[in-house]
Amino acid sequence: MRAGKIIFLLSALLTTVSQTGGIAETSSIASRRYFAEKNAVKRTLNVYNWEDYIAPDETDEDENGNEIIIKGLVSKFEDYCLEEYGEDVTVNYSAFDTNETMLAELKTGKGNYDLICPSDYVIQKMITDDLIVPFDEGSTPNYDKYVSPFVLDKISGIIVDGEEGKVSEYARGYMWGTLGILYNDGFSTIKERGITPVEMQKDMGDWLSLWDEKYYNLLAIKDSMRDTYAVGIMKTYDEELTELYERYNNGELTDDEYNKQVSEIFNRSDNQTLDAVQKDLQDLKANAFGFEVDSGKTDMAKGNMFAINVAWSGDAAYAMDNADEFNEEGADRPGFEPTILKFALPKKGANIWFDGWVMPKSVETNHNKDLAQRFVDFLSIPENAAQNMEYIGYTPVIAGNDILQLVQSWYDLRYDEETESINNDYLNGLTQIATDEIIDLPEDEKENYYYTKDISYFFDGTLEGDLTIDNAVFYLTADMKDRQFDTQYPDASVIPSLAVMEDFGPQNASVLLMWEAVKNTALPLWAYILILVVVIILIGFIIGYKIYRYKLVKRRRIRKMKRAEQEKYSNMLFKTLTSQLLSNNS
Amino acid sequence: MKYKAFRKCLAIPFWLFLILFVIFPILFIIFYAFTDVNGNFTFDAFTSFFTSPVKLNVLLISILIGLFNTFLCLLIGFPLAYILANPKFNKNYVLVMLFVMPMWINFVLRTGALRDLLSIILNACGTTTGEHPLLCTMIGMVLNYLPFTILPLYSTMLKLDKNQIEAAQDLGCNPVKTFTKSIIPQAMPGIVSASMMVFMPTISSYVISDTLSEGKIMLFGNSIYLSFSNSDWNGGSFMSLIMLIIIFLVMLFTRKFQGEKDADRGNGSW
Repeated sequence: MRAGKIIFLLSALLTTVSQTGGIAETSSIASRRYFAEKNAVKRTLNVYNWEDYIAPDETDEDENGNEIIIKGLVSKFEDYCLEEYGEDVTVNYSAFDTNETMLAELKTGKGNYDLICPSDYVIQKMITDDLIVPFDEGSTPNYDKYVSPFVLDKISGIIVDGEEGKVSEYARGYMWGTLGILYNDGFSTIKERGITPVEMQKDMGDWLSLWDEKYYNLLAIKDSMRDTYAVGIMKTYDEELTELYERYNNGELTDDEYNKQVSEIFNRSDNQTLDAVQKDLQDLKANAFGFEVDSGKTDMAKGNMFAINVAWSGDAAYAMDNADEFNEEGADRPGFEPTILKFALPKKGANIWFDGWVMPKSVETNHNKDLAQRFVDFLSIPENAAQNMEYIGYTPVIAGNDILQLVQSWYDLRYDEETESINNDYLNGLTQIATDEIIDLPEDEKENYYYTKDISYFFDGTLEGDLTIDNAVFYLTADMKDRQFDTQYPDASVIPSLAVMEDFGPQNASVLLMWEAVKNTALPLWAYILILVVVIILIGFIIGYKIYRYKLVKRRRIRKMKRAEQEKYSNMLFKTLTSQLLSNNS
Repeated sequence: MKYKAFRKCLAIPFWLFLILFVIFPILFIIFYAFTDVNGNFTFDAFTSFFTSPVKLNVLLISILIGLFNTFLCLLIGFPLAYILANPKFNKNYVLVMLFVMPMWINFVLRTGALRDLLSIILNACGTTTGEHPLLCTMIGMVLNYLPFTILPLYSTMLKLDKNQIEAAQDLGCNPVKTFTKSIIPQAMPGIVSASMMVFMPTISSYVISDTLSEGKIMLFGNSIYLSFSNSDWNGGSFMSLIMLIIIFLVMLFTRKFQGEKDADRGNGSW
């Protein structure tokens, strides 16, 4: 009791003395926590997530130079549980590096988790293998309210065991993105080969350009089976996709029909397809600079290794930010050339992916289902999702006011940092230009033009208060085209061509073999013959040597035996002679 | 008696270590190599490995690169070690230190730095690392494994019998013959252990080929990793087993080789 009083007094003192909000807040929470913890139920939530995939605690400085702690989402959730539910929750947070290691761990029954965040195709596999339990209906009100209808539609569209909509019962989305092409049109070799930025921008709208000799040795592809397969299949079925694209543009297909057909092509993995994709990928390997998984984004940002990189949208945005930072640092250096990276989503189809929260079966034995659902719902509050987005760089599936405002503050040219609101005066003196005309603008005039981009497909039905769907139209300077904003929220026109890549299912082993064949380096025929000849000669030599040794040993043995016989004989002779002599003497 | 029992007890930690970290893992590998996903006994991994031309080709290429790397390392390391063993050149062991020092720097860091360096050099020559994956990989391999060749060779070179070499020269051997008849046989134990230290790690190496060939050359180590990272534990384990068997065979071969040579030299009793 006494200790509690002292802490309370101390914290009260601190609140009055210190003027900074940070310390005051933490100490008041600390005191509240002290009293609440006494009768709080102690609970533990085991969360298993990707590395660096949630906003952590960070320290910052306020205007007075005092250190304040900005709470990460895990700590925030713990406070939230204490205040709202009177429960003392500890989040036991651990991280995995690949879907496969996580899945193997879960399958072998190791690890005790309540909440895991795998990728789309793994969720599909987990449902088929009966490893996870569905969410209760209405258990995540914030998620239901703020999730983007666009992403939810894609999630529901995945077919599991012949049924649609199962994934949205079992999983709640977290982050999403696309797989596109990150490119650097100012790369030295690109210039040497006389490829203009306009030409390159057009080329990057088509996966086929990666096979073009024009870009020989200038592109890096993903060293990952599924992602590169997604690129290969675009080449293999290019004719069909082109036809679909034309029919869609002529208005013969609705958005839905078009998307269904693209998804069908995208998810083919029969043996015939595998053979064709293998051939195409081997050609791609011959045309490529190399494979990479993680190093590509830094190499692109430095702008010294290759000019084209097949990249996930989040990595692409990260690389652009990094390149911009390098450009700022190097601006004063003589002879420094800035690296401007751009991102393209090929028009005829590309991969869209998402990561989502699922609850493995152990959540029920832990009696943590309500807590796990609460955590997911907590992350889905737009304010928290915005904090996540700011830290991770990937796009959350959550829409809503806070996200819209955050994105506006980053990209919209009308955003006024002082009033923290939209100010249309910023448009004065600028000329509006249509999106497809930007390509012809000279680089140094782009600042004087602006274009609008409507991403209402993402925010539809999630905005409230003063914000309406009209606010989801962004005003951007022309040099923002194909940059961070376009990377994080693709243009509405490409949305119908984005397909979710499903699990290969029983074909997984065959795809793996195909991928190994692509990675494998085949030698020319004469090399195999040469190796065979050398090996045969070597074996012949060893056998010959052994026979020689054997004969040598045998000959020696025979000689030895002969000698021994001779000795024996001479001994006998000696003995008989001596005995005769002795007997004669006697 | 009492002491004897006590001494035996001292070996317990060693045995525990051996069982926990050597015997158990090998048993696990064997178990996974001959079972399927559900843990039933099967030869699937065995047949799929030996019927897959791709996997066999990866093994072949790894062995070739391993042999080539061993050859290059010996070619560079042997004269180097011979020179280093001469106290005239190597005062205070500074030179040896210089050659061994790269080993103290983190392996991945060293490889990454080499990639940047090679990229600069090749760009100046008008080409890129992506166009010459084999060249870059071999440079990386030799640089990384050279210290492993120099050290064992250096220690045998220190023990070279100078009198024998002198005797060979006195008795009319030309330099080539002195080298082949006296120096090489004497240095044989060093050559064998240096080869062992280079050949096997090269085959199973993963980072060097991955980073420096820009992912274009797949060695056996990469192949094993690929299997595990795509949840094919059984195939991966079987390949690891193949790896173990190769190590075992090479050890058997070199031991016999070493033994013979030692016998020829009268077990060094001179």
